[in-house]
Formats: sequence, structure tokens, C-alpha cells
Amino acid sequence: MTSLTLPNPLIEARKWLRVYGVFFADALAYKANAFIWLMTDAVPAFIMPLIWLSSYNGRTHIHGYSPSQMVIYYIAVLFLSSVIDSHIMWDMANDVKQGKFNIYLVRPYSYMLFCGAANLSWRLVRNLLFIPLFFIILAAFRPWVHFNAAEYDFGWHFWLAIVLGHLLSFSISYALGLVALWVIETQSLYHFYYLPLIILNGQIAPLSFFPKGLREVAIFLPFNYTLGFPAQIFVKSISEHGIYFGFAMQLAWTAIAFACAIGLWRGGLKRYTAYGI
Amino acid sequence: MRYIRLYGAFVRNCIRQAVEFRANFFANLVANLAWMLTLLIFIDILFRNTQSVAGWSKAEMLVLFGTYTSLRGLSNTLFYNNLSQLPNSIRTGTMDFILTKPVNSQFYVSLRYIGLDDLGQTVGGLFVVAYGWAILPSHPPADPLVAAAFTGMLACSLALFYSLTLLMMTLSFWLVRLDNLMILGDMMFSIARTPIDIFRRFGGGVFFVLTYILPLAFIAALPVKMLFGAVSPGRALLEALLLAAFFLAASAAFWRYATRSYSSASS
Repeated sequence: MTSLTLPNPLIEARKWLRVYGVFFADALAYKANAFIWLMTDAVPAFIMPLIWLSSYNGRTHIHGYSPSQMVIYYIAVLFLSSVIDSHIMWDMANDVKQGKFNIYLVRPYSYMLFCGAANLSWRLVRNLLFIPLFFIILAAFRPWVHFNAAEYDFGWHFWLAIVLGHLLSFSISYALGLVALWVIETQSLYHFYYLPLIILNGQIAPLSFFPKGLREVAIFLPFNYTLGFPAQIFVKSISEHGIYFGFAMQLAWTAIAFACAIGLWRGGLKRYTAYGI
Repeated sequence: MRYIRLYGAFVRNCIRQAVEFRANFFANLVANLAWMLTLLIFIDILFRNTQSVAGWSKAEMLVLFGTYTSLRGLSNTLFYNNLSQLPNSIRTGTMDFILTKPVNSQFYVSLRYIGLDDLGQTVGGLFVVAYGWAILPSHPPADPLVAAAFTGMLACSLALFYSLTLLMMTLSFWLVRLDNLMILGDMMFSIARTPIDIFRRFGGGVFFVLTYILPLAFIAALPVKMLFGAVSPGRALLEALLLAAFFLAASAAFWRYATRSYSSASS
């Protein structure tokens, strides 16, 4: 038995690869459903740039955004939403409600990493489905899409903001999922979370477009740092100072969400009584 | 006559349910109003940065959005909770029972449940219309002909909402695993609340498709344009009536075809 208690990195890696493979197959099996969810994000990616393009009325910039930057901003947000946004709490709450959560408790690996793998595999399948859509959107907005690398920031700032944004979104939705261990009816809480999220995460407009009061509150809230922040880096509409402030906010909110998740997990396991069995 | 009495029974049944599950009822009401708020914030941000969008002023766009939301609320109240259940009914085999009931199956699957919580959207939409109308710099002259044509076009919009949703949801007889097909409808109708002229940017072809082939322009944008005198009332109403009649007939025919070729899922 002693040999089993020592974690062998090779065995660990194989175990996770297997878990990951199962999730990937599962996500692929529901690819038609995934495609429909993808379309719900894609339609705003057509409508929003069209609305703004019809609003310039001869001006060259709106709030410092050229028509091209505006179009690319919304396309970037669409792409980012399929990489970053995590909606894992719905499944977690469902598992708890139906008693399926027990299965995970007796399995020999971390529930959090398990959720992480499930989330990441959905993200990957979504991105595979996203590729054709991406080209359709680029073709539709061809006159405004310049393939000029100088206009976009592909640097490490952008990639780091994506990774941190992913962790941020995952940790918040994971913590929200664990709330299900404490209260049975979580639906309204989740709806309540989505309201500021969809207003402030950058999907409806870059944060700099918002009225001053709302903007000053929103820069201290986590929502903008999931999608809006990396997209603003990509179209180069954010200052160096703003970028570092953004990284700090991403790290801070991820830490807060993880701390909440740990607290909810510890207390929640004591309260959890396995309904549905 | 029998169907009117039957519908009366459905309504009573649903009111009783709504009263019983009050918490749920109010949660949905708040969720609906929250979605409206999001879009109103967007319109506000948009018009902080521009005077007009493809020729639509803020007031006109609010009237458009309010009109769309009211209609959507009404359509959701009447049809949404029913048609969104179709994939589920087919997968679980409940459809077999519906088909054997001694009523017209299209009537039953379309109108059985009344989602009273969606009426909040209709009321909210009316407030937005009123506000948009109030901030209008100059009101169009009151013309009974325009008012009548507008009312007629809104009735056609409701028919289009219904028949387009039915056409799409009937597909679930073949796409059994797609339990989120209804989302596709939400997405499609989100085009109907935009000032449709923005699509001219993609060329006349796209605009034509959205007007006559997939007539989303007729749901809210064209009635409102007619109200502001941008299109002639006679022609707009006639086209709306023809399209509504065509899509109602087409969706009913598609429903009959689907139920005839359906061979139970569960047994």
C-alpha cells in the first residue's frame, strides 16, 4: 500500500488525460447543442458591429474607436467568450440536487480539478465549432477587417489576460456552483449573477463607453475582467497602466473567489445530506 | 366554440398554478425585466455616442424596442411555454398521448399553457413605448388610417412570431436530441428588435431576405417605420397580411406532415 500513497507523476498525468478524454468525448456527443449555444453568442457579434457602423454618420472615431477597431472588438469578444466564459455552476447545482454529487465524493481525485477538466473540454469543443463561424464573420465584415498586425496586440499581455480571465470566470462559477451545497434553490442567485455580468463583461460595449458613475464602480468589479479587458488589450484601446491594473484585479478576484470556494466546500460537505438518494 | 371553452379551461388552470407557485412567478417576472434593463442600458450608451443609427433616433429606437418587447411578451405568454416543450414531449414519449387526445394536436401543443409571468414584459414594453413617444421631438399627425394599419400589422407580427416558432420547433420531430432548439428562436427574434436598416450594410440581398423570406423586419421594425411615416400604410399592411397568412398556412402544413410521419419515440 505504501507505494500507492506516493504520487507518481506519470500515473497522475495518465489519470487526468483519461478523465479529460471522457469529457471531451461527452462534449463532442452534444456538439449540436454546443453549436446552438454558440450561435446565441454569434448573432450579437453580427448585430453589435452593424449597429455601431451605422452610428458613425461620417465621423472617423467614436470614443477613440475607429470603425475597424469597433468591429474587431466585438469579434474578439465573441472569440474570447468561447475560450473564457465558464457556466459550470448550472451542472454542479444540478448534480447536487439530483444526488449525483456523491459519485464525485468517492472518486480518488479532486472535485475542483474535475470541474476544471469538464469546463476546459467544453471550451475546446466550442472553439472547434467556432472556427467556421469565425471565417464567416470575418468575411461578412471584410471591408473593416485589416490584416495589419500593427493594429492589434498579440503580445504576452493579451495571452496572460486570457489565461487569468479564464481562471477568474472558472473560480467564480465554481464557487457559485458550491453554493448548491448550502441552499437547494440556486436558480435565482445565478440569474442575479448574470445580470451585472452581461451588462459589464464587455459584451454590450467596451467599458470606456459607459457613463462615468457606472464605469467607476465597474472597474473594481470582476465582470469586465473576463471578456472586455482582454478584448480592449487586443484592439489597443487601453493604457499600459490600465493593463497592469487589470491584471491586479483579475488576480485579486480570482483569489477572493477561490477563498470563497474553499470555505463553501469545507462547510458545505458537513451540511450536504445527499438528497435524491 | 368547443375550442374557446377549452381555452377558457386552460386559462383558469394556469392562473391557479401561478397563484400556487407565487415565488417562481415573481422570480420570472424580475428576470424578464432584468433582461429589458440590459438592452435599455445599451440603447442609452449607444445614443450617448451618436445622434442616429441608420436613420433611427433614440426616441424611435425606444418605440421600436418597446413595441418588440410588448409583442414578445404577448407571444411568450401565449406560445412559448408550450412550443418550447416540444423536444421534451417527443423525447419522453408524451407526444403520443397528445396525439391521441380528441382535440386538434396543433391547438393543444400551441396553447395548453399560459405563461402569465411573461405579461410583465408586455407591460414593461408599453412603458418603454410611452417614454420613447414622450421624448419624440415632433409627433406624426394623428391619422386613424395609420393607427388601424399599425394595429393590423401588430396582429400579423404575433402571427409571424407564432408560425416561425412552430416551424422551427416542429423540426424537433427529427432532431430529437436538440433540447435547446428554442434558444435558436430567441436568437433569430433578437434580429427583429434591431433597426432593421443596419442590415443594408451587408447588401440589398440580406435586407430582402430579412423582409420577405424570413420576415423578421415585419415583426417590429416595419410597423414602427410605418407609424413614423417612412413606409406607406396600405402597402405595408397588405404585405404583412399576406406574409402572416402564408407562414400560418406553411407552419400548419409542416406540423401536419411531421405528425403524420412521426412514429413514437419511446415505445
